[in-house]
Amino acid sequence: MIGQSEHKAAWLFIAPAVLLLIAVNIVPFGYALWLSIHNVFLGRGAPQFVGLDNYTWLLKDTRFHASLWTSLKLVSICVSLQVGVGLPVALAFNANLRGFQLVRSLTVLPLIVAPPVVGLLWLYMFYDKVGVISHVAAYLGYADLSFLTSKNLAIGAIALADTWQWTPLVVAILFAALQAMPEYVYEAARMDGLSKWQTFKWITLPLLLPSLTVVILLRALDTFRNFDLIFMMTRGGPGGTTETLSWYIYQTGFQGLDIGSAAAMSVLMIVLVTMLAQLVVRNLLKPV
Amino acid sequence: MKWIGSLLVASALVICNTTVHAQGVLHGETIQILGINEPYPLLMQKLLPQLEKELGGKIQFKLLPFDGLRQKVLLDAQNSESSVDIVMVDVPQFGEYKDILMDLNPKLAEKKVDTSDIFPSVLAAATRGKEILGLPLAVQVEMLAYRKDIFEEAGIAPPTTTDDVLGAAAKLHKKDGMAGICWNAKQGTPMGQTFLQVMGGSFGTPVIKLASLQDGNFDTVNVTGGNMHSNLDSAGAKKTADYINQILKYSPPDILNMSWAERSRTFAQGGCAMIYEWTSLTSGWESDPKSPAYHKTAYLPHPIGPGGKGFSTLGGWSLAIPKNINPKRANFVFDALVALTSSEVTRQLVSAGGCVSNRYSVSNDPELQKNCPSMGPISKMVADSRVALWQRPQVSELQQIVDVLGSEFAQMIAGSETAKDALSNSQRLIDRIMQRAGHY
Repeated sequence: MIGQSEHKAAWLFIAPAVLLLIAVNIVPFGYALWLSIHNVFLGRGAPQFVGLDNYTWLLKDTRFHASLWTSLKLVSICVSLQVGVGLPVALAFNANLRGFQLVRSLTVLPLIVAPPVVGLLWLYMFYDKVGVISHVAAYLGYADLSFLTSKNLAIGAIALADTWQWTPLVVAILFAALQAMPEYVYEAARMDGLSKWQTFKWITLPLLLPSLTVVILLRALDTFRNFDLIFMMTRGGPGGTTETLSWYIYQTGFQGLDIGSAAAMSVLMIVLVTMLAQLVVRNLLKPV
Repeated sequence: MKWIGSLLVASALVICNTTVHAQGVLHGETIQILGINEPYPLLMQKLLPQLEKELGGKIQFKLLPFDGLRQKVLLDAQNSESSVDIVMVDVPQFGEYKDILMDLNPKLAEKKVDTSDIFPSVLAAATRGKEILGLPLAVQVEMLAYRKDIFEEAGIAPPTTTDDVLGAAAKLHKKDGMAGICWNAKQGTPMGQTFLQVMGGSFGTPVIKLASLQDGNFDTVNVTGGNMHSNLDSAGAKKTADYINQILKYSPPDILNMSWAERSRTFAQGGCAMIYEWTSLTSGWESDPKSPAYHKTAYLPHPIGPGGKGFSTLGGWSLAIPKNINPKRANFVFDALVALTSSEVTRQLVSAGGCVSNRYSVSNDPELQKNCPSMGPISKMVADSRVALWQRPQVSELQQIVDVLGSEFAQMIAGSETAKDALSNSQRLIDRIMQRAGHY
């Protein structure tokens, strides 16, 4: 039984954290909710109550639907690429192959670069005519490829930049998980005569699943709210093909100064991100 | 000889009168100017030591991109006291800013400032009702510029109609690696403004249903709720979408990422035969003897299309004082504003390659015209009444309209949407904007 004084002490200890959480999370969310049910324009007088009008409009707004679809598309491309590349690299690092020590240290370098700088670097590399990637493409006979102005290639270019920066994080988390796996399980597997593939399928992968889930969740959420790369590389273009939900919210709120609609979109985005997180956790995070 | 003496005395008086404004108006004070990071203000920054000496104080510029500047101006207006003394205002923004800028009339009258040298249409653009909200600094015109040398060599007549533009672009596109025409097609404000200016300038249709006047212009003064309905369902809007789809074929490969800086740079480097361009940005080639377009470019109003009269859009920047300025500062800040927009300072900036003048005395100076070939044609456009501002009506919702058009028609040229869908979506979205603003 916890005594009353201990109960008070517990509250006292967690109070700063709770207050901070309320100040930086709950209050802004509440304010966003309030804004979302009002017609609010910067510099145009007092807010007017409009009920759910901002939300019902979003159901009809094709640009909102398109931006949501683009966000989901970007999440699926980036997460697939990052896990698809990150997992084999983590396994290779874990195999302790000769010469991989240095590579392991170098791998984390992209993580220390600020995302807007990453966007700028890749913008220059993809730049028409003068960018190194465009130059290589021209050398290979694809001189007309315009990565950032092609509606088919632009989203791929952003996914590539994102993958370059964040795959090391995937590698780091998975490598740490692999290092922590108990050796006796593998010894038992060897004694039972399991092949390398069977060991991976029946032992490594299930044990890795919690870390894999965390990595997928982190990367999915982070990519869903990606703004820096879009801002630096394409600004939602060409023709809206890289306009994600974050970019559309920025456009609506900070360019159009339609704060009410932007708040409604932000609230929906929070709901969607929470649902996405729940989906990933419930499907992947099962007891091994 | 007596009249020569009188003329000299009169000239001396005029010069003294203008220098009175400039000399030492700041009395050692520092003023903050919030502006656009375009060539003209950047040139002012370069001439800062000279300007500060003349004004007798310090001038601090904070130059931002277009959208950032607008946000900062509107946010600053929410403060009890403005953090800046002077703001640069784009001509169409006077509608949105009308309640946050100081009426300059009382001070203009009190200090007997003579505005008769300023182009009347340019001063009218900074006037809402009877209130003069700004004095023109670099109010300019978007023209169609073309390479005289290339047109003459190919035996093509100056492109005065939209058909001429398309014909010339088709003939010159990919000639020596050159594109037919450069224009703003980048998603957002660049594309949105292109649509408005072409729709009004070439196809005689304003974006909202303004009442038409006899001379082909539209009434932007007496605007009621009924005038705020979108015009995107009109024949002019459809023709504009078709025209934009046509010129797309003769545009540079990176057209979908092209905005003000890119199009100016491409033309200056000899990358296109024609360009839609604002006056101040012509300095990109007119001030650079190494540019293939240097002094080989001719300037025309927007081309005439079916149903249009070929009006060039009036735009560019005026200096204004926020209404919430500290009253103690208002007096010398006003004097500084007058000095910075005076013919004397304009002359200095034009001589330094600024190539924008809103004053008869500067624009009609043959010596200055030699260095700035675009100034003569602009004076002529103003005199011929081929310049108007109704293409971008001064209503509070203009930037939202621009955002809608900038998104929808960028999707159209990227092939993600048909012209029909882009037009109907724009009509629907602008309709919602106007309804929410309570216009109908």
